[in-house]
Amino acid sequence: MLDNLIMGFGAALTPANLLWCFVGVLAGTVIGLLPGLGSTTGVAVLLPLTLSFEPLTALIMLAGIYYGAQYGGTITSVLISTPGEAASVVTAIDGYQMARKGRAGAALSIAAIGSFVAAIVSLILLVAMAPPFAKLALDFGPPENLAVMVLGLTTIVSFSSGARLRGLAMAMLGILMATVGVDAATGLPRYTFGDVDLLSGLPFVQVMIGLFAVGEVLFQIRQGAAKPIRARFRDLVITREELSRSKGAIARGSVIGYLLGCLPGAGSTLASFLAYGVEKRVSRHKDEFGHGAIEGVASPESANNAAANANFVPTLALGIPGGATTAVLLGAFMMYGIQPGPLLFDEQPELVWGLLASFFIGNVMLLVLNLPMAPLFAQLLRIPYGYMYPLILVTSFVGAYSIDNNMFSVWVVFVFGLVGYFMKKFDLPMAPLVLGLVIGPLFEKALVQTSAMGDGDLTIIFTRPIALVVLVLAALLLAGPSLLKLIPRKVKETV
Amino acid sequence: MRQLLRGEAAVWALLVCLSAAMAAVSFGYGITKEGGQVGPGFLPLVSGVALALLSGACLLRSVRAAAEEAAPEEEDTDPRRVRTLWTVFGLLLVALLLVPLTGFLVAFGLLVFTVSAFVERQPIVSAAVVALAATLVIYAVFVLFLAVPLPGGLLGVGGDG
Repeated sequence: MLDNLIMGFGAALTPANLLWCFVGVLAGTVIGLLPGLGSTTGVAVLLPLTLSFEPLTALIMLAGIYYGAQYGGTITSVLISTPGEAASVVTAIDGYQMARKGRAGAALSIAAIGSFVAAIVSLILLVAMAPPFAKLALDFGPPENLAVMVLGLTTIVSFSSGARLRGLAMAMLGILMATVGVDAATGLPRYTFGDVDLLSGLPFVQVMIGLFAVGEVLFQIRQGAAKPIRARFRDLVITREELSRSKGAIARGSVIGYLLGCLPGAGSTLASFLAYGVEKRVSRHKDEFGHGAIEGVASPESANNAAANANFVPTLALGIPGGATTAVLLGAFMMYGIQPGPLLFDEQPELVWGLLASFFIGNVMLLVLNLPMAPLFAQLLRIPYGYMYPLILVTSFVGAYSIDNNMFSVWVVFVFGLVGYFMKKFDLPMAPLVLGLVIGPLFEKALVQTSAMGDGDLTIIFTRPIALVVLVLAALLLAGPSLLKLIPRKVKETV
Repeated sequence: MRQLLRGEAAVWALLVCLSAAMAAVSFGYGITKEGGQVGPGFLPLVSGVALALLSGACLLRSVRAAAEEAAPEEEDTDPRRVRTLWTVFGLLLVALLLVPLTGFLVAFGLLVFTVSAFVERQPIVSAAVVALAATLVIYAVFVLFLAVPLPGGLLGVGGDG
């Protein structure tokens, strides 16, 4: 492993890769702090710019945007209580209260330190765990892959914001949308209605740009922009008490984030919420939560960064995305002709280890950028939104056009922008839809192969031990919360 | 009823219709192949039926919730912002329709200027500078650097590589 890591650093430390890693983390920070933009949007919108790059360079930059946005999202959460990232939503609760008490700088500092520590811890675990995980996955056949994808969908549905029913509906919509285009097994066109552009299916990145970038911007126009609280350089110093209170929170957040991030479909938003909940229970300052507790910033920020890195375990080792942004990154891998999965570590070691090594480098860059520069980045929030959003819209449309050089892409962005707006308006979870859309083709392939293995009998999946265990886990995840609700009622009845 | 048509229920009703239609069409693709194996229509049918049922359940819930509400909830959004939203959306549509005529860069440059200056009421000179700068940056990055052949339209401005 050490040899692989050295090889990875060798690949990541070339001047070009260092430069694009820096561009990625810087762009990610800026994207993360702009209301209406997040890591998924950032990766989707900037993906077309990387099409002429070497695959490793492109992936280093796109991954940099991903974890850079986790840092940037915190700034808006703390200063205007408007998270730039879904994973920073929970940070806004105590971060904004700290800002109102004149401790915005301390909140931003502890978020940067916590994010950095969590990132490094989770990266060490990622480097140690991903290759054995990939080796284990080599024994997976179509039924196991199918079961893991079911687990991914149920995980994301179980923890969707709002009701599970809505999450499940969105996952189904994603899978249904993924069936548009030529069927890979038979070559039969489905739902194309004679349109040549639809033969290769709904263009994934363009759909993402529409849903996340245009949809979010339209929603922000409706909401109106908030006025930021000023963060000053001199406020960045953390007191000894604040630091000692944050240590345990950072450690717990890192572990929770990593464990949840490893689950396909879980994503970093869930990790941040869970870490906040745990911290609220174990903290000695419970009553301060919601009123500016520093643990309420340190823990979720550590968790979301740890989860962002851990999301690469299922993405790289299984080819199944950990969350919405890794789903877009998976699309990027495929655009460069790379198929993530268990064989990737053996077939493209330089790419995998170069990418993993770049995470270390990128996180050091982010700490150096964010600790002293957070108040400077915060100045971006003072640019009138009336200038900002037309520019975001234009960049989204021109980016979408440049993927396939056709106006069809642009119209897809327009239509899905409207869809994205209504999804935001009615609080419909987007992550299950994205995951359904990305894994739809893989799901169908595994389904067809499983059916062929069983001569048309899909129950073969229940005869495979690993697949069965994974399916039971998926069923527990889906039914667990409802079952837990039943327990106290039964207890009450017996008393 | 008017409130229902404008609200979440309308979205679920639309999804019920869409998924039911897609499930119905899937029969034409063949649900199973020889030997009873999964055919090209299987996944569209299963996901279509599942989506129709789930959307139906969500529709019922939202209709019930709307009926239980004593008085319609007051919109927590400033009506001016809602008007701005639909104006911007309309202008986006106009910009897209203008592309074959004026080309991509001119259409979207005009969009930036119009939205900043007239919809968001920023100073006209600043809006013009921002729109011009944005157009030039996009031209430099996409047309010159990435060699993207942006449509030049009838005017042929800054496009087609």
